[in-house]
Amino acid sequence: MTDRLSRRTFLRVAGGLTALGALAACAMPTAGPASEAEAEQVSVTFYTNDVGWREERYKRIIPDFEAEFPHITVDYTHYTTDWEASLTTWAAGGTMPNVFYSRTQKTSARARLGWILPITGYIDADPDKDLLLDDFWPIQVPQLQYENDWYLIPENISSITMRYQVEALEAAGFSAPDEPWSYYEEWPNVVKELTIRDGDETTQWGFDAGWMFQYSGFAWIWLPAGIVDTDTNTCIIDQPENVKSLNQLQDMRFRDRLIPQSGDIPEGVNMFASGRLAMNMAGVWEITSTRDQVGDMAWDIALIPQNPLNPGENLSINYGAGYAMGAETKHPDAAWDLIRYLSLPSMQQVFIVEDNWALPGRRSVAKDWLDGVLSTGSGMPAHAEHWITALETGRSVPVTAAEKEIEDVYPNLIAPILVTGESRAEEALPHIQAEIQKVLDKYV
Amino acid sequence: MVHGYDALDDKTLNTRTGKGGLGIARRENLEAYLFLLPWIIGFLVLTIGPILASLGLSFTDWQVGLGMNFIGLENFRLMVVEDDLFKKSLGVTFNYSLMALPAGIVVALAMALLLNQKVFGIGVFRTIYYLPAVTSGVAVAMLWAWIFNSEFGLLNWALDLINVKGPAWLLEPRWALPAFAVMSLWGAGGLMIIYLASLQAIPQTLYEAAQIDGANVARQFLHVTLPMLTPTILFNLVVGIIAVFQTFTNAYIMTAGGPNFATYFYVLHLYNNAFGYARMGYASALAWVLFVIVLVMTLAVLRTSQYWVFYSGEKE
Repeated sequence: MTDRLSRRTFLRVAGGLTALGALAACAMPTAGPASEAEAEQVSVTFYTNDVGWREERYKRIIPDFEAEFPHITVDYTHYTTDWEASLTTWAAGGTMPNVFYSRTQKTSARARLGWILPITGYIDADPDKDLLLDDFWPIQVPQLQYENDWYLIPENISSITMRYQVEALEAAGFSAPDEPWSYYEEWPNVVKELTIRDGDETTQWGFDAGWMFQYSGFAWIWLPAGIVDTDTNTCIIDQPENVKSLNQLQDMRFRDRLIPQSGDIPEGVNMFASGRLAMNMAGVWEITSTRDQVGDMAWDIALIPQNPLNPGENLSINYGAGYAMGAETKHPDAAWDLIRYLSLPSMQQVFIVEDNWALPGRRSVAKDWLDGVLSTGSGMPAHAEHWITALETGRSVPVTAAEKEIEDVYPNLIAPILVTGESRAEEALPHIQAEIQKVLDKYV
Repeated sequence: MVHGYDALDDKTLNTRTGKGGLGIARRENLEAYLFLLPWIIGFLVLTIGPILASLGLSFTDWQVGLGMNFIGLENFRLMVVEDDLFKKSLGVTFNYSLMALPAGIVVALAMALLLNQKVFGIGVFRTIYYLPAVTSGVAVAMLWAWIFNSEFGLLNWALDLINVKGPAWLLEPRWALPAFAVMSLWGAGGLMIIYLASLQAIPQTLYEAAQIDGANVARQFLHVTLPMLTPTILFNLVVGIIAVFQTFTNAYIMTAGGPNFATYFYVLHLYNNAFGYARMGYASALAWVLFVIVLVMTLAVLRTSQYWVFYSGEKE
């Protein structure tokens, strides 16, 4: 009997405690009547991703923003992994952040799906509208829009050039180029002269684009005719100029052995910094890391070769990131205030200029960025202005909602031409064209 | 010792009433369900609910952010008729299973036989062989990326010792999938530990009887050990089928499905559709097709088990 009672008592006490716990967990905190100012107080969720050190910068500037806009509280979180998958789950769950850091090449896809809100009305109402819009890089403007509406305010843009060892270039008999090399004549010759062999062994490779041969929108640098006609939603990868370009790269890699094959590159070895590679690709975001890695080795940058279809244009593909407003934003005015604040030139100083990281999304800050790079002292490229020129004369990533899906299939499709060398471009491209067109057709 | 109402018969239990008029057994049942309720709610809401929801979604064209329309079996038609990557990923996964499953079962069994010996420090060896099975998938992927490196990797270094030039394992389409199969052996410790437990449960008397009959070690293995292990082999085979068809992490991290789709596993295709392109309807259909494939294969294996699995306690 004693056992029965104690057991029952235990169950009652435990049940009671559980119920009390549940009530306590569900109870709202008590608060006095809200003052008028408190009633207007709004909170904005703000999520970012990208390199880790930027988190500290955001945490530094958010109090300044909240001081300037005392009725807005920013609920800030920084993500370094699984960003794209997280955005998808937030969108599915209706919990998109009010403001978030968004890649410009993804604007079309996100706007098409309704994950982000148009900000055209806010831009039109902005007293500095013309000043603001004139300050964007023209090459990036299509990446900020979808169906004639604005969706993004740019924060940065990634410019692409080639970096080279100064001594190697001089030893090969070339001087620093002020203009981009011609793609079919001058550039392959430079690469050939930069390649040094000792018997069968290549002691210095002439050029490598690494992952930029296959992956991301930068892989489309090697397609002079482009990959997608965005006006007609047509894949144009099988254009004759693309055939010629890809065959040239294949010949340089497999026939002439000027570009290392995948198996020639040791894991974990920085080919450029170790002097085994004379020239490769140089994203502007790598400026500080390159300086730190190369040590005393002099290096500089050159523009990516001319587009044979348009000699006034260099073949680089450029895109960046900015700030978007999430679809479920309950306080769009406050969200816009935050986006507008983040777009100020003073913020570009904090996030771009202080660390020579990427290029500012506003052209008026570019000179500060350049001055900052050149004043850093030794180890910086003498022609850093080429990164700015690359934007002024380069190409935009194709603006299509299918961008992600094309980026996913492209590395595999292009592999027979550029990775294994088993197919010539004229044989492989019709199939690749058909496969990419299938992707595009899903986005009509 | 018998406590309180444990000693009472069912009739007494059912007729005694508490304050609320409920029988003690009913009251206890009620209390038990109350305490089980959080788990039951969690199971229904967080497991059964999403499973049923995904079944419903598989008949829709839902892309996150766009409308959701019922499209019947259209997703399944698309899969079979238009989605080349569906067929390609299925082929890759089947090929991989043909390599990884038998290899895993044989290697794990061999390891278990070795570690079943009575030698000094065997506990240390067992721990060492089991440890890889509990390491993080991402860390394992990074480690194997180095092992498979064509110029400085451990594998090609070892091959070089016997004058064999190893390929660029993860970069050549014909070698990438076999490389993944080799890599899958890293987790064989999980199966090994189950074999080991089974080996130790085999009655010693069977071996003694076999020895009296003149059976050598090989015959003892074939006619005693192996038959007695067949239930465990069946279990490991079924678990292996389920695991191998869900291969994802290594391909996602190391190759992203390349080169030339050589490691484009089914779940990678599913993941891309769900979280890359937000096509939740189509991804749900893919998930259900995967479920059916695994179910059919499991049932097929269970069906054949009557011909090759021996249970020591069963009657003819």
